[in-house]
Amino acid sequence: MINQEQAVVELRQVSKRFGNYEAIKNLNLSIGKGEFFSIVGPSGCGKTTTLKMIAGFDHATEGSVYLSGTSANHIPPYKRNVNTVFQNYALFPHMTVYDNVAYPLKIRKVPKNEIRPRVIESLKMVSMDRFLDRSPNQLSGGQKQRVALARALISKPEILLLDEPLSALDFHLRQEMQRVLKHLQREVDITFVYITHDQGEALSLSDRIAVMENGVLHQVGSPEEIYETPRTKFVAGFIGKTNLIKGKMEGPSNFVSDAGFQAMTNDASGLLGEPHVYISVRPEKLRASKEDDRYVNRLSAVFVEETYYGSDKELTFREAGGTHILMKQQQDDGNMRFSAGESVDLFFRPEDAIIVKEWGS
Amino acid sequence: MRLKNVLILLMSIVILVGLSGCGGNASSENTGAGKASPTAPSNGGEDLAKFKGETINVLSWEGYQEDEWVKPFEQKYGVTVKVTYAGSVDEMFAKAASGSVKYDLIFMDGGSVNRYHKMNLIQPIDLTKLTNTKQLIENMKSLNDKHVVKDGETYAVPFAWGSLPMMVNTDKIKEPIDSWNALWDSKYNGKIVTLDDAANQTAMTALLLGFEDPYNLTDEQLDQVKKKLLEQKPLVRTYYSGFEDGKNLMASDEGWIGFSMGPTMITDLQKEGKNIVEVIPKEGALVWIDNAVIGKDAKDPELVHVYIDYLISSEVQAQLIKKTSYGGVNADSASMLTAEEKKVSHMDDPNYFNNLVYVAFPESFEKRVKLWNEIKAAQ
Amino acid sequence: MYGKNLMLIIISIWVLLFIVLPVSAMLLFSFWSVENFQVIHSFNIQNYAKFFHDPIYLSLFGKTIKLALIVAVLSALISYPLALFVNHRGGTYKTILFLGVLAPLWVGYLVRIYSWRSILGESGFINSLLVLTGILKQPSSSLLFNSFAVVITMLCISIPFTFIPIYSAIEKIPGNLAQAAADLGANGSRAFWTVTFPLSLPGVVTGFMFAFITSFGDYMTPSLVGGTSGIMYGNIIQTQFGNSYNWPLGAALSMIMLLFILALIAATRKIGNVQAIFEE
Repeated sequence: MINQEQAVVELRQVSKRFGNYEAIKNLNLSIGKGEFFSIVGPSGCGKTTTLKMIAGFDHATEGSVYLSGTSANHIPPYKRNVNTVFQNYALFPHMTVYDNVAYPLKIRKVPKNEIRPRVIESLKMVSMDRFLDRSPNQLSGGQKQRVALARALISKPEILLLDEPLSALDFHLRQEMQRVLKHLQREVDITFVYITHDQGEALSLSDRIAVMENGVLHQVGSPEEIYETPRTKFVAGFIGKTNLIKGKMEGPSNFVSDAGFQAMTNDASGLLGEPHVYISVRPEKLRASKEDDRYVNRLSAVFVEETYYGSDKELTFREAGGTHILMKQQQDDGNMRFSAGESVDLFFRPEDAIIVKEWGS
Repeated sequence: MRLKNVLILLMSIVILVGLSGCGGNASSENTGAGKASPTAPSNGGEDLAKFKGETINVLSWEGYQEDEWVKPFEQKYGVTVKVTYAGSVDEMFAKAASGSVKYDLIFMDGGSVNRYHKMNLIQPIDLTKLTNTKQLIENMKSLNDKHVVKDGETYAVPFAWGSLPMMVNTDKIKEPIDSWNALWDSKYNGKIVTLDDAANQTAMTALLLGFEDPYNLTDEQLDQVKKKLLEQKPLVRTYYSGFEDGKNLMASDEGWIGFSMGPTMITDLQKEGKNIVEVIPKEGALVWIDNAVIGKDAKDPELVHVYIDYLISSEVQAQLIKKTSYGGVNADSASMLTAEEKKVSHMDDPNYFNNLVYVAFPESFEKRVKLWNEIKAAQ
Repeated sequence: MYGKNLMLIIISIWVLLFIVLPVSAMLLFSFWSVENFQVIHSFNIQNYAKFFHDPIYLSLFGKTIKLALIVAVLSALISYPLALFVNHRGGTYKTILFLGVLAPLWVGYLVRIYSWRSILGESGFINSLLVLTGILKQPSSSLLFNSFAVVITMLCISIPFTFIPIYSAIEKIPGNLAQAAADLGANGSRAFWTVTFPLSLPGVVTGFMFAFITSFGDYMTPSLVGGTSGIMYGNIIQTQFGNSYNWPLGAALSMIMLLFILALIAATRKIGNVQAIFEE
């Protein structure tokens, strides 16, 4: 964990209400220097509000936002060492690319002779230095995004906030921009706070990820932690695909589903007292045959259908409790074929069975 | 985007309202349920059916074509009297001259007849077809004829008249006023109102200056008039631009004394409770006589003659006086008026005309308009 | 496709009937002359020469430009903060506030002028208030029948027309641009002058032109509240069409006004084009 001294952004017990609607509920978050930190969640989860409070466009109803250790509650946006890349780029349409990127320097009264080299340097970083005199209207979406990045980075902020910066781009451009972002972040050594609803993007880019839902923070951790050991049903379901069956713990690693299915799981002694929990098994962890001795858990199910995805296919089953179970089948697994209604036993290892809570903390 | 729609809607309404406002003046047809009236003309063995279905297009002043006398005529002959009203001399002239509608009958002050005649917009009237002309007030008719008879042909028959006297608020001004000089009196600085009308302003000033013919001034006389009006300008509250404007100014006490547009203006103000009186100054006052004139391209001049004869009959003239308090032209109508009505319309005073000067056709409208514009533009 | 063509035809007919034809007729008239109340249909430029030779026309033209400029500048200065306020602070009352600003347009043109006369008059609302509160000992006659009254009355007419384009220009500016400016270090006033204002400038120019043109051609307001010197260029044109029956001179004076305004519109067209800035 990152200690207090290193925290560039810290939210302490922050709540935000709009009238009766509680957008953020008692949020605690600490982001370290130089981190690529993502906040993910579906729309309405509070991630954009969180970002706005860090930028200074919104203020916490309760609690405090600290920037580099000092309370920023009363610091207006223009005095914060925080810059933002907006979802729709927010380039000034009445200025050229050059003037857009030079804007923060001119505002901060940087000596005239320093401005030009810095603008060019900044635009070079995003390979846009050939477009100095273009108007933003003459640029493609990806180009605008690069200019917005150059503009936000030119005054070397401590923190760069990125509000779903790639959501308006098509698939290939998005892939390319992800590489640009990752590369840039390492180069400039600035803390990136990245807002996205795309869990895949978060997983591939981030040092750490915070998962939010309905204003509540569910879990913070590295991509591996989030994916491998989700703590709540929501995190397990939102980050990657998973199978969830409701039940409760009868021993530290003994799960029994409501329908009576029993499984050995990883250690979940902390959840023994919960009235109900879920067992989470990723589709790629399921097998249709007992591959080796570690596959001690057997789930009886009925085959429903298969869906073809090119590199792999997904088989759908229904277990005794009525829940649909997905199993990912790799091409090289051989060609198992089931007919609809056929009974199949599915196997998985205890260490692949994660127990998660219903709600976040 | 809802607001944008509201915006577009608003703009279109504004434009529509604006447009209709621009063209906004009375062009109304005289149909609708008419109040039945007693006076229907009866000319012995006339063939009533011969005009059936015809229409008379009339360009008139408000108040001259009221249902009380138009309806009975329409019913008797089975014709339609279609009336277009004009709000000012300018507007009337513009309407008649544009030629977009061929008017059969036009009403205008006798002074304007000259111009319509010169522009070939009107045709002579056959007096033999009119039976009521012998009842016209004698001295009024002879004054009028000087301006409407051209080369022995009569182009117009008088219908109504009115003076342009001075109006004085006796609550504010106690001393007796008997001269146009009062409108140049610095005692009334900022309380004088006068008419924004080039021809009549010039004529009234010419009266005061004692020029013999106020509608036929030499350039030198016009210069003197200009000087006199420039002298007056700083004392004047404002030049009013029409009947309602003038009434409004006197009613709100912005003006205490002024050059009026006629006795009707004064009687209207009296009805509002203002103690405002009419004064015919010793230098004399202007009088307009409105005439009926037949349009050049009248469809059926014979029908128009019948209508004109009807309009100057003593019955219609008495109704006109009762309804509008303009001066009537038929001497016989006096017998049908109350003493009060006779007094207001000056039908009781045969000498009233002696001190009035006919609103005639000026030597040059252009010169007067230019003179007047220069006065208004002067700093 | 068919509907689009039909629309084009209708618009063309409209333009032809209500713009091209009248203006052509006026242009033709402006080269004719009048003698003895007869229009002489022979080409000459004496009417245009009059405009430049007789000082009354040029001086009134200048006076009218000055007055229209004052009205347009004040109109923009008042409308701008109003538009900012309605857009930023209007909240749920936006539509109501918006209609409120446009309210003067619902009152007839003449009624509006007469209303101002009764507000500014000696026994009017403002004087009564000033006397009642003891600020004045007796009613002042200097509120009405002068250029001040003309400007006030014209403002009442022009503000809605200035407000609408300014408001829609401000409304069109994406909200995140001002945020971006603040984010990049600009405080409120810097953000306003570097981003909001330049982006709303086209609306300001359009609104300014609306106010200028409506004031320039208005002759009723000066003649009803302007007092003895309330004459403007429009009045001079108007008098040519009445009794003096000098339509050719009136047409020439109108053509000069039309050309002047067209030139002005052409000159300001570049900055007045909001569309170009936001086009994707």
